[in-house]
Amino acid sequence: MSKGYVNGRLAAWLASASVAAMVLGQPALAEIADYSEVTPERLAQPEDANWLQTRRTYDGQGHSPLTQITKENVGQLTEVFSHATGPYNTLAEFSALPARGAHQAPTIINDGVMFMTVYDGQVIALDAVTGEEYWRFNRELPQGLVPVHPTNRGVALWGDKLYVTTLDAHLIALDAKTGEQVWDQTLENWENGYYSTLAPLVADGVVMAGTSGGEFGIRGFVQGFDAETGESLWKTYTIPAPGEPGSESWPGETWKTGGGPIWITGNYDVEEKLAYWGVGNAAPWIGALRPGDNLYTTSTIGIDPASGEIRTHFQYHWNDSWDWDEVVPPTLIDLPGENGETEKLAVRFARNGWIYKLDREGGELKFIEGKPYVYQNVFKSLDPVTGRPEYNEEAVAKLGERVEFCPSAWGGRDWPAESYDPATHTVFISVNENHCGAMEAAEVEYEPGVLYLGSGLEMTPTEAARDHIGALQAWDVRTMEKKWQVNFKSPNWGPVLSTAGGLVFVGGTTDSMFRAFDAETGDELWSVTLDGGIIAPPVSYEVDGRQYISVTTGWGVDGDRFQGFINAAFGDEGDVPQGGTIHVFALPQT
Amino acid sequence: MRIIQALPLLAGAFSVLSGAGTALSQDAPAPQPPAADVGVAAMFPAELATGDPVPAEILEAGEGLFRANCRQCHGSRGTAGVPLKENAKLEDAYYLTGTILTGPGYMTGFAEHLDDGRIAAIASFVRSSWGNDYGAVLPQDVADMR
Repeated sequence: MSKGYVNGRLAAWLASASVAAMVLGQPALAEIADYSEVTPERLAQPEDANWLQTRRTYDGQGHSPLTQITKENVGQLTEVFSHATGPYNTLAEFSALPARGAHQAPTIINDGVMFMTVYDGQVIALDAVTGEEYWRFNRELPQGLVPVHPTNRGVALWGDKLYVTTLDAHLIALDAKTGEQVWDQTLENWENGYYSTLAPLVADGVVMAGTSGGEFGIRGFVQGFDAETGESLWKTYTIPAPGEPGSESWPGETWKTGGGPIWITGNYDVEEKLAYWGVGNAAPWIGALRPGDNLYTTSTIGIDPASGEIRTHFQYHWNDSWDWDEVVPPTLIDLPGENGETEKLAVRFARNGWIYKLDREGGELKFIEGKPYVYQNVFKSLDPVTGRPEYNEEAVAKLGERVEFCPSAWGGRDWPAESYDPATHTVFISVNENHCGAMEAAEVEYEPGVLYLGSGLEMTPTEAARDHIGALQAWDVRTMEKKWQVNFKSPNWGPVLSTAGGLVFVGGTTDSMFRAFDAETGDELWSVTLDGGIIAPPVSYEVDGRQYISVTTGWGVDGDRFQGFINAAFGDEGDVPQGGTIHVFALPQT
Repeated sequence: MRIIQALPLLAGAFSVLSGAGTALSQDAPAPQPPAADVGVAAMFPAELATGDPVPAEILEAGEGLFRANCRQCHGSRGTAGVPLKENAKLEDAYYLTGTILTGPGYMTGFAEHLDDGRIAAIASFVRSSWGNDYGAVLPQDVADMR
């Protein structure tokens, strides 16, 4: 399509008498009046009513302190409004997209204003009570770009601006009140396989972002920009150049195309002024093609937003051969101890199938303990001091030999975020089990912008998958014991919301259902079937004393691919409805 | 977009919108159709049989379609993703056309997106490149697989 799009609202507006006024230079669409500036203080300590960041708080807990909706009344939840995110742009002048576009962004809420991103480069601002649109921003993608993960994971707010990344690997700033573009910076050249889907992270006036592309032999990085001007302040690669610490873990020239993508928003330790970012898989997929630990792939790195310096790191597994991206940052938890002290923890459910409890005291990550949360047959054990795994060699890919391993490349969990309820010390997480993978390694040539894998990719559900693949688990981080697990026959790709009302909200299943569970017992208390599968994070907010729950349907990308393998194995057919609608729920007003 | 085209008098209003950042603010050239996307089926001579040497015109069309649709995963030398270079499985024309149509595993299925002539041109090109010497696949072969 050429420039421009018209949604229903705009079409109606264009046809109205107000157009005459517009031509005469009146304000375009609705500028948001009385927009609340987003200060460092508000990000560090957001009001209970708001959801200012992807996981609400810098620590990544994804938990709402709101209590109006409770176990007792959740059954009365009704839809207040729904709002279509379409119509969409044609994503590429390409005959078949590699994946269906997906909605993976939370609605971000600032004092009654809702912001939503769409996989095709749109940003929408709307009234969080009525659903009425204030403005839409639309970005057209360059010709020839074929997005392999057409999605976007949300906006970041700072001052009177908002920030969003794009499939052509740009970071752009908009005026939050009008949707007008303020600046546009190139992260990297998309033609070399770089693309960006994450919500940026803003801390102390620095807006940070990175890119995907671990399947295309990129060299990953986190880049910091001045939030006001867009000036690039630093660019820190996730793969060290020769001579830098960690460079000894890469043979020859492999560091230049070693992957290490950054595609999930980091968390931020306000006290230590340290941003924790998850680094994804090494490239190519097969470790035998790049012998060494391959720092900092499949790791968490702690970056100083002021300087870009990597101050600490922890690698979950070395020389990855399973495409277990470890891109989700750890949840930062301050756990009250028995003797009045506070344990400063970083807790992480790794895609490799193990839970890691790390100490983050003083801004340094140190291993405390780990255990599996799904069946995994690659690790023999973790070193009790360092947490470094010892591998079962039969499950490590070798050139010219097909090797099986569990879980498959999609891991025990993929990117969907867990939540943490500090009152009950409980993590709630969506997992997938009973699926295994296989790879058969081969030498591979690097070509810019082309897949750089060294193996095909297989996924096979096990016999137990006929019972369930997806599950919602609740874990007590004090004891590292599982409190309960709810199983779904379908996979579970749902990011989790917990609330101080004692509830856990999650979608994620192929039946397009959105459910609420009792946080203490795992009992299902409420559900609704929506117009599509849910892989976007639910959020909760409050306006004028009324608590809302918001979630967006939009099934696609990896959830869709994963289901394709399951359908093939079980001889099932049928697509999950794609959806693409913001749904907002609340209790009836008395 | 359609409405704006239908109502040219509103172009002024649209430029105001653009200035306010509420709609597209970037200029981009009009999209071009994929290379060699017309008349591909007509390039296949009536006397051509499956496995015959592929006429240059079809090879050229097939290469253009391959670059637009397949290169990102398989590479311009047929060595990336699941390698096509020196791949003995390509001898079976129906295996190859079935794969392109259905997209097994991680691959995209092209049945809804490319017609028989285009798929035949791609398959003919792949079977004649990078050490493969298996010759033409006909539009009728693709039609038979659908």
